[in-house]
Amino acid sequence: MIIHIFIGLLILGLIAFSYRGVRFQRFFTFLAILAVGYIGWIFYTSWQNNITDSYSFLWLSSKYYPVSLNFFSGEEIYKQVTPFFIIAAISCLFVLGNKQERQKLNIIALAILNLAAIIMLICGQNTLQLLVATCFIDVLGFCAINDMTARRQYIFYNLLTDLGLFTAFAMLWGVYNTNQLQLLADKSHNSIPLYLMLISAIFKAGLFPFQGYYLQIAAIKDSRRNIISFLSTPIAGFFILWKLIPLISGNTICFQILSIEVILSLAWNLFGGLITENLNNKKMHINLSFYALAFFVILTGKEQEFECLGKLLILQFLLDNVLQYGRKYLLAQYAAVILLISAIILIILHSPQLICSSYLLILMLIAGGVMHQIQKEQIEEQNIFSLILAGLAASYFINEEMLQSLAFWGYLVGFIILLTGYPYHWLPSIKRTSTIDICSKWLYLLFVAPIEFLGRILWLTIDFLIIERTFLNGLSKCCTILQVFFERIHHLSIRNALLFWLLGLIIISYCLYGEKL
Amino acid sequence: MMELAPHMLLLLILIPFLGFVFLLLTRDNTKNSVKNIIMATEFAVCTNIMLLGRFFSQLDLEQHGLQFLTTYSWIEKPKIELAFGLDTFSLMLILAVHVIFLVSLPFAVKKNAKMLGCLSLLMLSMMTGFLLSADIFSFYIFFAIQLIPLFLLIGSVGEIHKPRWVFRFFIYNFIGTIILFLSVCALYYYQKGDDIIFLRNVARLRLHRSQEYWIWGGLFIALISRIPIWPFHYWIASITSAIENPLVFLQVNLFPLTGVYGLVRFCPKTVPESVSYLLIGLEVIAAISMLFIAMIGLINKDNRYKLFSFITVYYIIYLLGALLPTSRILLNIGYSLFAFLIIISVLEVLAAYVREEQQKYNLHLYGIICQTPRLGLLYAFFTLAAVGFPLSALFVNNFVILSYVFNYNFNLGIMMMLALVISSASLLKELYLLKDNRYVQPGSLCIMDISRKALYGLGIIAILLLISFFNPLLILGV
Repeated sequence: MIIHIFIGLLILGLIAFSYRGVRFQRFFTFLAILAVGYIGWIFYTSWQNNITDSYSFLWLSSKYYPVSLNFFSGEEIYKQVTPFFIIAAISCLFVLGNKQERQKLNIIALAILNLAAIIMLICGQNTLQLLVATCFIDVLGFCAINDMTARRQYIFYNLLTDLGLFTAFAMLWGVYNTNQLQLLADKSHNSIPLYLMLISAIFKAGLFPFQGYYLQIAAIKDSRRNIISFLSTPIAGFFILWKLIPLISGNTICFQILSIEVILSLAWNLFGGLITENLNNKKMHINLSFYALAFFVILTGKEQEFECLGKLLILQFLLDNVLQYGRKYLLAQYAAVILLISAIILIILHSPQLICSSYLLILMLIAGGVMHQIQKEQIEEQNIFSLILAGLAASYFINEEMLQSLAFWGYLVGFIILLTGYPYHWLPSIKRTSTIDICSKWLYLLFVAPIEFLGRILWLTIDFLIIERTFLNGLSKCCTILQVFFERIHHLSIRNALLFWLLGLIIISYCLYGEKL
Repeated sequence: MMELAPHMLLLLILIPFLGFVFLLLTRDNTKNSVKNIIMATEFAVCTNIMLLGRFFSQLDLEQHGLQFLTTYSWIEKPKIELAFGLDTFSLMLILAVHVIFLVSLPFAVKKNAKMLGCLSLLMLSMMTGFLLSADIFSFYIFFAIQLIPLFLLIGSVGEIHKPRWVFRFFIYNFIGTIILFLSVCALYYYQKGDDIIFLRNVARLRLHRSQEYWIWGGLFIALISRIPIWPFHYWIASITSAIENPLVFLQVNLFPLTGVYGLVRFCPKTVPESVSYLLIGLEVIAAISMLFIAMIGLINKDNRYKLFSFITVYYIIYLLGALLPTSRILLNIGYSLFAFLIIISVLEVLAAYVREEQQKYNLHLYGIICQTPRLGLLYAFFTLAAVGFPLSALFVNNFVILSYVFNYNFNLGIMMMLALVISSASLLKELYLLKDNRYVQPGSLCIMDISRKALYGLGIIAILLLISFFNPLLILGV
C-alpha cells in the first residue's frame, strides 16, 4: 500500500510541477489538494486497518553491488509519516488561500514531492536509498527557494553535506561490501566515515554553527519557507542521523560531539528566538531549536519522548503559521495563539515527557514575546485563515478535562500577563542581526578561503611563473638561439663553408675510425 | 534475431567519413549552404546512431571482452593486420561522442560552416575508429590521425588569437604520438611472430626486463600526453580556455578521452611486475593533477577554464578507477562517462550561447541569465546533474567507482573526493554568478532566451539523462 501512496504522490507532484500555465491556477490547485486529501484518506484507512506490506524494487541487479529501493508499511512507519502528511495538507491549504502566491500549483507540487521523498527516506534500509532521497529533497528545496542569496547558500551547504554522505557511504560500501544499514550497524567502523556522516547530518539539520543558511531562508515567502522548514532538508538531516545512530553510537567521540552540538544549538536557537527582533529570524530560530530538541531526544533514547516529537512538530508548524498569517490581523491571531498555547499547556499537564514539556514551556515564553512585539503594530484587519487555524487547533487539542483543570486557567492567565510585555523588560536588547554573517564568514575563512588561496598561489607560481615564464619561455629562447645559429651557419661565407667541411670530415672520421676510438 | 553482416563495424567509421567527403564536394556559397551542411552532418551522425542501436540489440551484455571482432589484412610482408571490435564500454562511449556532435552542432555552426562540418565528421570518423580498434596498429593509426583534423579545426574554426598556442598543442601531442609509434614498433619487433597483437594481449607478451621498461614507459607517456596531467596540462588548458566554438571546445576536450580509453584497453591490471611501479607513479601524479587543476578552476574567472578543470578532474577519476586491479567497475566507468560526456556537452553549448549573447549586447556576466527562464532552467538542471545530484547515471556509477577506490586506496579516495567537491563548487559558483539577480535592474537590457526548439531538444536530452539514472541501457531499450 505504501508504494501505491508513494507512486500516487510522485505522479501527482510531477503533473502539478509540469504545469506552467497562468490560467486555472486556483482550480488546478484545488484539484491537487483534493487528490492529496484522497491519498491521505487511503493512508489513514490503511493505518486504521493495520495494513502491512513491503515492496522492493531491484535498482541495480549487479552481483557485485546490488541496490534495491525498499518500501514497507507498519505501525511505526504510519506514525512517522503522519505528521508530514498533515503538514503537507495544511501547507497546500495555505497556498490556496494565499493571494500573493502566483505559482500556487508549483508550490503544492513541491510540497507533495517532498512528502514522497520523506516516505522514501523513512522507508530506507540501505545507504543508497537514504542518499537518493536526501538528494531528491535537496533538489526540491533548491526549486522552492526563490531568493538568490538564500538559494546559493542552501545549495552550497547541501552539496557539501551530500558529498560528505556520498563519501562516507562509499567508504563503508568499499570496506564491507554492503549498503544495508542493519548489516553495517553490526560492524566496527573506521572513524572517518562516522565523522563525515555526523557532520553531514549536523550541517543538514542546521545545528550550531551551521544555521546561517536557514536564517537566510527565513526571509523568503511563507509558503515556500513552510516547505523548507517542515518538509525538507532539516527533516532529512534528522532522519539520516536517526537511521545512522546505531552506527555512530559506538564511537565515543562522535557521541560527545553530537551531545555538545545539540546543547549548543538548543541554547543558541532558543536564546535567539527570545531576543532576535526580526520576526522571520525569530521563527527560524524556534524551528531550528525544534530539530536540536529532536536530536536531543534521540540521544536520550527515550521512546515516549520520541513519540511526542510528531505532535510537537505539528504544533510548531501551526504556531509558526499563526504568527505569520496573524501578523497583520491582531484579533484573530490572539484567538489562534491562545488556543495553541492552551494545547501546549495541555500537553505539559498531561504528559510525562519532561524534555518535550520543558521545551514547550520555553516555546510558550517565546510566543508570548512575539505577540508582545506584534502588539506594537497597529493594524486591525481580520483574516479567515487565522480563524481556521484557531478552529483546527481547538478541535485537535481542547477537551473538557482541560477546561476543568485549574492549572490550565493558571497557565492561561500567566500567558496573558506575558502578552502585556512586562516580563520581557529584563531581556537584553542585543542587536543580533550579524549572526548570520559571522557564522558564514567563519565557515568561509575556515574552509573556502584556504582552498582559494592555495589555488591562486599554485596558479601564480606553477602555471604562470614556472611553466609559462620559465619553462616555455626557456624553450622558446633555446629554439630562437638554435634558429639564429643555423641561420648564421647557412650564410654564404668562407668561414661557414670551412665549418661545414670540418663537420663533414669529423663525421667521415667517426664512421671510419669510430670503433677504434 | 538477425545476425549482423561482418563488415558492419567498418560502416560505423565509413559513414561519417563519407559524410566528410560529401561535404568536401559541396559548395558553400549558396543561400542555404549552412542549413544543408548542418542537415548533412546530422544525417550522418543520426545514421550512425541508428546503426549503434542495432549493435546494442545484438550485444551480449554478460560476455567479457570485445565482440563482433573483424580483422582485415593490411600488409603481407611484414604481416600486419588490423582488427576491430566492440563491447558495452566502447559502445557507450561511441554513442556519447555521437550525441555530443548531435547536441552541439546546431549551436556551433556560425561561420566557416563547411570547414567545421567537414573536419568534425572526419574527427568523428577517426574517434569512432579509435574506439573500435582492437589491435595495436589500428589503435596507433587512429590515435595519431585524430591530431590532424583537430589541429585544423582549432586553427581554422577555434578562433584562437595566439597561433603559437596551437603549435605548442600540436607539437606536444605529436611528440606523444611519436613515442607511441616507437613503442608499437618495438612491440611488433619483439613479438617475433605473425600473430595479430590484440590490445588485451600486450600485457601478456614476454619481454626482457629492460624492454618492458622502455615499451611500457613509452606507452604510458604517450597515453598520458593526451590527458592534461600536471605539469603538462598547460598545453591543453591554454587552448581550451581560448576556444569560442562549442563544438571545437568539446572535440578538444574529447581528446583526453583517447588517453583514458587507451589506458583502459591496455589492461594495466595485468601489467608486468617490473613496471608496476610506473603505475604507482602515475597514480601519484594523477592525484596531484586532479587537486591542482580543481583548485585553479575554483579561482579562475573564465567559465571555459572552469569547465575544463571539471572535465579534467573527471577524466582523472575515471583513469584512476580504470587503473584499479579489478575489472568489475569497467561498465560503471562506461555508464558514468556516457552521462558525463552528454552533460558537459550541453553545459558547454549553453555557456557558449551565454558568451556569444554577452558579447553581442556587451553585458556583464553577473546575473545574465536571470531574465531568461528557459536558459536558466536548463543551466541549473545540467549543473546540478554535473555536480553529482541524482539526476543522471553519473550519481550511482560514481558511487560505485569511489567505493572501489576507497577499498583499494583510502588516501587516493579522499583526494578524489576533495577534487570532486572543489570542481563541483566551482561549477555551482559559476551558475550563481550567472543567476545573481542583485546586479540586474528591472527593465534593463538582457540577452535573448534560447528558442523553444532548443528548449525541447535539450529537454529531451535532460529526460534521457533522468532515465539513465535508473539504468543507462534503458535509453537504448536494452
